[in-house]
Amino acid sequence: MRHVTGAWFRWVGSAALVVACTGALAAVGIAWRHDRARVWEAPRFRTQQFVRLAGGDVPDGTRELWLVAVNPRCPHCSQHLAHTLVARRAQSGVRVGILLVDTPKPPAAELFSSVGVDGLWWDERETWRRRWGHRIYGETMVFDAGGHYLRTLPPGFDRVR
Amino acid sequence: MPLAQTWNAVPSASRRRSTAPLKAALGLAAIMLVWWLTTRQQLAAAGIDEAFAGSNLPQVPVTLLAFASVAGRFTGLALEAAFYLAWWRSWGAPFRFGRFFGWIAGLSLIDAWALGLRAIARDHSGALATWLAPLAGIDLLRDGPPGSASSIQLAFGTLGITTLARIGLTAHAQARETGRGFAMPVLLTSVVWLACRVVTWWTLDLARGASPLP
Repeated sequence: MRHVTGAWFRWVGSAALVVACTGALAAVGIAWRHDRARVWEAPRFRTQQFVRLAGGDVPDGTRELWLVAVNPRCPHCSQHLAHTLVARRAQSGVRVGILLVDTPKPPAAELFSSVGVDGLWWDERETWRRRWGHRIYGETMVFDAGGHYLRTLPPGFDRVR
Repeated sequence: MPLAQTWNAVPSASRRRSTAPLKAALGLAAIMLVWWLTTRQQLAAAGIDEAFAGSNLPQVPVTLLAFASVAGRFTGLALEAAFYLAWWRSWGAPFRFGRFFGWIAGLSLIDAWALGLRAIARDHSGALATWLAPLAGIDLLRDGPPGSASSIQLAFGTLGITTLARIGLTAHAQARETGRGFAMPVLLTSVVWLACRVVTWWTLDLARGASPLP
């Protein structure tokens, strides 16, 4: 009788482990399916969409605006911004700006005064995440002088694969 | 057995038992050191120092990044060992956590070696990557601009002979621990690997949204 009870408990233990793992897998799968079915708005850079903290409008002679998505609490963002600033040196007519994302209150603009970017904007309405569907901090979105979206460069894009 | 032999055998077995934890600890420390050096090498290849040198931004402590990476890897190994422990114990099989953890920590050196091979392939011409791809991972065959890789390509990109060796040896370690055949452990380990890759694929997609992957 004790042998039968022990075997039964072992069977229940195995079944519980399988059900828990399969359930977790199914939950991630459902979330993934739902998220992939969403349609995002095409990005367009309009200065009035964001709160300007430093810098001016996109100046004449600008070929491309590279906008780096930075979260103040992200430890890697300063590293990716540094990479972007170095990569910009090899380009002509490229301006680099910072878009502060996912932050309810922007940090003081003076914190970025020595960084050497051409503009600093705060995404107060969470356009970057909620309307454009972008989520990776440190990426660089590239727009033309008219604010039309060209492409997005991932963090560390200047590294050789 | 003569009495003299018995007297000699007891202290020797006892000494072996008493030095075993020390040997295991030293082995784990050596494996951690290998991972530490591998991680530092990867961070150096990312060119963090050069990037900071060319800007006015404050330096991120690379040592902290490396420490977090190694700690995360060993936490993952402990979770892997805990899963197999729960599985085999639930089937009534004997299974020692510490011994199995030591085994898979040692087997993780295969991953470190594969990472080294991938770094070599990246630093050299495309021909070398083609040769190393079956060994170190099929995504060495992928070509394209940064950000062009899909989540599924990244999730399954490390599949190669080293991955198959890791799965086979992990299954072998379970077969040794449980005293059962090789078939069930290899099936279990393969299913776990596949499930982990699928979860990685979906999680990467959830994390990136419309953003390209690094």
